[in-house]
Amino acid sequence: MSRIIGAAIPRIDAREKVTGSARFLSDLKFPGMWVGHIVTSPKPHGIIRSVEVPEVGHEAGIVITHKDIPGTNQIGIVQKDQEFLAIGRVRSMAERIALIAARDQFTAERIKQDIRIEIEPLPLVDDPLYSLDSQAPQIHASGNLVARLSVRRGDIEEICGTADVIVEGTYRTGYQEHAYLETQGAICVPEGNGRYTIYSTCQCPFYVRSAVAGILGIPQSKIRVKQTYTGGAFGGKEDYPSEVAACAALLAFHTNKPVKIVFSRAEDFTFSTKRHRTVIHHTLAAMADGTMRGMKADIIFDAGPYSGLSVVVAERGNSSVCGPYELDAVDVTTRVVYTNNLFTGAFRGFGAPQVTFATERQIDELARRVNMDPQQIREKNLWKRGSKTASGERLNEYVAMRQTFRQALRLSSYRRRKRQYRVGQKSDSILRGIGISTSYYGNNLHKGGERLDRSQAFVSIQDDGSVTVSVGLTEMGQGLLTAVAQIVAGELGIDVAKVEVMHVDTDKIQDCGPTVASRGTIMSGMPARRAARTLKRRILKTIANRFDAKNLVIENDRIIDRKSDTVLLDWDQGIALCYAERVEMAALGFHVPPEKPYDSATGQGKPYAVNSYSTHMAEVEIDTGTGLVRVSRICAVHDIGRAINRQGVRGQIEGGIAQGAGLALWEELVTSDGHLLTDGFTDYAVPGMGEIPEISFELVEHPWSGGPFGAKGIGEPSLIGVPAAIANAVSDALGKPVYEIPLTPERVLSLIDDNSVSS
Amino acid sequence: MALIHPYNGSTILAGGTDLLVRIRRERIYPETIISLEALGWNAIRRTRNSVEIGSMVTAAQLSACDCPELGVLSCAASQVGGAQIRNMATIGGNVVNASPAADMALALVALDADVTIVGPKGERRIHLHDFFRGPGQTILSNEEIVRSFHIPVNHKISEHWFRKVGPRSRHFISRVALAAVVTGIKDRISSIRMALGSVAPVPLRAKHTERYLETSERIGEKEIETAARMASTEDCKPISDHRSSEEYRRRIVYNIVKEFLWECAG
Amino acid sequence: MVELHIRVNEREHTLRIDPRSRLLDVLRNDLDLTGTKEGCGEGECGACTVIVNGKAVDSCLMLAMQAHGSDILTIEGLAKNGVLNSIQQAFIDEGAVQCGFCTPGFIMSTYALLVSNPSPTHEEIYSALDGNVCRCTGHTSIIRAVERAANALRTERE
Repeated sequence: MSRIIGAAIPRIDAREKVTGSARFLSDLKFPGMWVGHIVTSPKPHGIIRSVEVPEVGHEAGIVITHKDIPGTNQIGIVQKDQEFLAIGRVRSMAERIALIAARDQFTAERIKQDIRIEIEPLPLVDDPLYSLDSQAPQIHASGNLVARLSVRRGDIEEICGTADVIVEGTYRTGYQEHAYLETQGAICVPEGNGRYTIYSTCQCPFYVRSAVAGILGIPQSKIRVKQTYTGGAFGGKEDYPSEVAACAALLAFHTNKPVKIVFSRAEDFTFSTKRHRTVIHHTLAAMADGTMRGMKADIIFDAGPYSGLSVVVAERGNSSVCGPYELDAVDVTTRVVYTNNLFTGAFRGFGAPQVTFATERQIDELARRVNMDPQQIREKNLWKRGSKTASGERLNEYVAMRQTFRQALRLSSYRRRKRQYRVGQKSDSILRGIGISTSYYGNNLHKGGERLDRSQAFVSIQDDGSVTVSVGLTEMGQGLLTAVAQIVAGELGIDVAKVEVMHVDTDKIQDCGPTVASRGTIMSGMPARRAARTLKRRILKTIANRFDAKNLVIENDRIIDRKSDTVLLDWDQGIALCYAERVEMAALGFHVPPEKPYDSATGQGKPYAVNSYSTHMAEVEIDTGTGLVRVSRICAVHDIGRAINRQGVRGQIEGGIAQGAGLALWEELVTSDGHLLTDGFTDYAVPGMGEIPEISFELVEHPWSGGPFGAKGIGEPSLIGVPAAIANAVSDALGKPVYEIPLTPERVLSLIDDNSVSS
Repeated sequence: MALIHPYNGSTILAGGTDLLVRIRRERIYPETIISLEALGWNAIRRTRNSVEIGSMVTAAQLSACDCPELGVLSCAASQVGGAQIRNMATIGGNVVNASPAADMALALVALDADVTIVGPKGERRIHLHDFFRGPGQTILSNEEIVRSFHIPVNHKISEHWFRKVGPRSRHFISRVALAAVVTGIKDRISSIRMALGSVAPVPLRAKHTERYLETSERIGEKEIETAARMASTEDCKPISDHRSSEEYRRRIVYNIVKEFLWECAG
Repeated sequence: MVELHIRVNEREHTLRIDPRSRLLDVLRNDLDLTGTKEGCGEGECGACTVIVNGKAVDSCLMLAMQAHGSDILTIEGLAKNGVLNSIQQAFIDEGAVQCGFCTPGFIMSTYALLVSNPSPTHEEIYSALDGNVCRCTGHTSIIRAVERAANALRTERE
């Protein structure tokens, strides 16, 4: 088993990807297929005065508006505040007004050019702080405040009153575009028998099924969603694919033809969701010896025109802002507000990278104020076993935070490097700095999403000994299918090569919730292991009866009698025997994590199943001539429970570092009056090969009983602490505070040139 | 890259790296596209006094070319787009596209290049400096195309310099760029040509700064400071756009001119 | 419609195509070679990289007619008789494949590099691959894969 679990086995779907034979969404063709296009609002906020649709012969194309929705014109994933196709009002330039299907691309473009839309503009709200002003135009009838969340414990006023030091700062984080290489898309095929098959590049096939059912007004049993090879997601394919799929479905419904929609890159940038930009006003109360006493935070998440997943993202930000630190009092208020800007949603980290940036910066500022090293402050205050969290949860299990911290300091030679930088800062043109961040991540869905938190796996053994597995969580490049194959093979005692794991098909498995919150390995691995164990028991029981033996195990494709240490049968023979005896050779596994006690009004209780801890160290070099920041080195230590596939874990860590660095330094979405000006890779600077730092990492493997073979998630922890460490390194290099990311060259240069400190 | 104005109603295709982006963005399909590929204008030729570069020579060819007289141009060419684009993008297309951020065009301006233009009335040769009228605009008529560029050979050039500044290390449109060639004697500059990119409607020679440096007795700290300031105030007219602000661009001009001159001073 | 003669992965084709087609469209739609991907359509990501007459190009930026009479190699042409090319194998072994969408483009750019420069320096690798973008791996494993492939190919030649 240890040969497989934790090994660096090449992924099981690599071959088809390196040969180009893996069929992604845009590669799929169906006879008689038409292409679909989405027509969106030409203005960011206004009233629709008229929509003129050209006459189109039904053999050439079709145009659809809200009048053509057989079901309900509503696609809001949590709150029902989002029309699928606009009726009276538009609130962003991503808002759909009409859908086109045509027999080919050029015909569709011609039709699109002939559609005339007249919008009477309404005043724009493009600043989240302004949005809360009573004078601001109300974007929805319910007002601009979507939700308000809190975490409150202890007496923050008393703590602030008796503290030696109060560190205050207002921090800002910018939008981020997922920039998955494969753009959004969907195909809907009417099967002719009242059923529709949706091919979707997505993280959550069950969300897609539910959304399409609502728009078409048909039962979910009439819809089959098949997740395709998915070319990257990072949260950007959590909710938005439902909208794309519903477009394809509605067009297929009306034309009775297969309809394919594939976004251009500019459409993807403009229409699909982004990481939330935030404004965080943060107060840290501490003593002169560096002991932290309390934290106060006022966090604003800019939801854009619709609430989408914003409240869920805000929940994580709300819960995580106080960081892995012992505090006597906390007072967090988190607000989600509407604006007419970009539609925001899920993105790897889900609110945590933003709040972690603010808190980690505050800690470094505290270090400056009390004349201590940032390392010492953290050493004084980090959680350990028995610590109480901001939500009042007492951490009674082993808390790996300090272990990751110690290891990261050692791995990075932090103290020595810092000394070198202090001494060596002679060269005027390059400034060097080193920064730390310590962070944690609450695995799996927040208490608020608990009703979605269950999953199933189906494992079937064929009469030739090969195994097929269906799970309900999706592969999007992170290596989920391979991890599941290893878990099943590991449990059964067979070669991984015998196990085939499918992309999600909603006809084959029950709703397992979304593949988000780094829950993929946990929620596919646990039920898969259970199903495999059930099968293993049946196989061993059958063989035991036949041979009148006990203490049988399966190892390396052989059934072995442990007592006499003899091989009874090989795997294929064992399976043949079971088939001969008509044993049930498929099994279901189910996993539902325990309920978490939590009070959303006070934010007290246990919001997450278990925490993962991470420490990052970043070294940067700043070109003082241009302001361009180069990350020379990143060290990361992650508390991962148990690595299932070492190669996959490495991939997540290296990828998370690049993407986190992009959020910290190079990626900026520029909007003006509700228009997105950076709508492609020409101006949106995704880190390239020249940006990558030297990376060192270590894993702390302290198995968690709630994960398969002890595994916790790594998808998001691999990114969350990265921007904070980099920002701290930049601040160290500049010798001044940093309040905003991305730290673009322009921003850095003005920090270098500006001799005043702003807050 | 391609000419984007009509040629008797047709569109000229050189490498295609600009034309196809425009077609895709604007969804306008030209009636007729004429490719210049077959004309064979893809050679780099040395004569005694000049280097002649056919307009269809690609950025990759220039980047790999072992011609010391073309140092700044090779350097600029090596940083055009990404590798695949360099294999297709032509120097003619880069110039005719007339983006103020064009890299190869900037180097040609610093090299004091001439351009040979052909049309129905015959051939004419003009100084590249007079070729640009504004962003995306040149003096070419509807019926003219660019055949080649001519760079006067100057063996006394001691320094070729190209620097392009942007949001990451490679593959970006410049926020500010500097292409320069210097002829120096000890610590005096006898002649210098500096071209600034992305800070004016066209690739611009920093004439005030050049004159100042050429008439200075020596190039020391004071002169470098003055020259850098001059370049960033008098010799550029940057705008603020979604890529950068005017202030940042001026600041970068100041910084990179200063860096360049210190490098020259040794 | 116009007639296009093209040689792809050592096979000759004569096709009638819409002149507005890009080389990318002809490969994916007319020839059903869907290994070459469209990531941006603007020459910024390299997912559409193919080799035309020995040079790596963005097939999204080339009109199909520009490739008339040309010799084209796509990802589908690399493996021989089911045996993976060393570059493909190196990408698998170094974990340089995650979602797989950028992979064909990177492999083709790597192929173009190693054919002309079997022992590239780090700088030369960066320069040859600066037209390709990967969002999943952060590029670190890709560099390892290119170096591994270069070693393997040099060993093969010896």
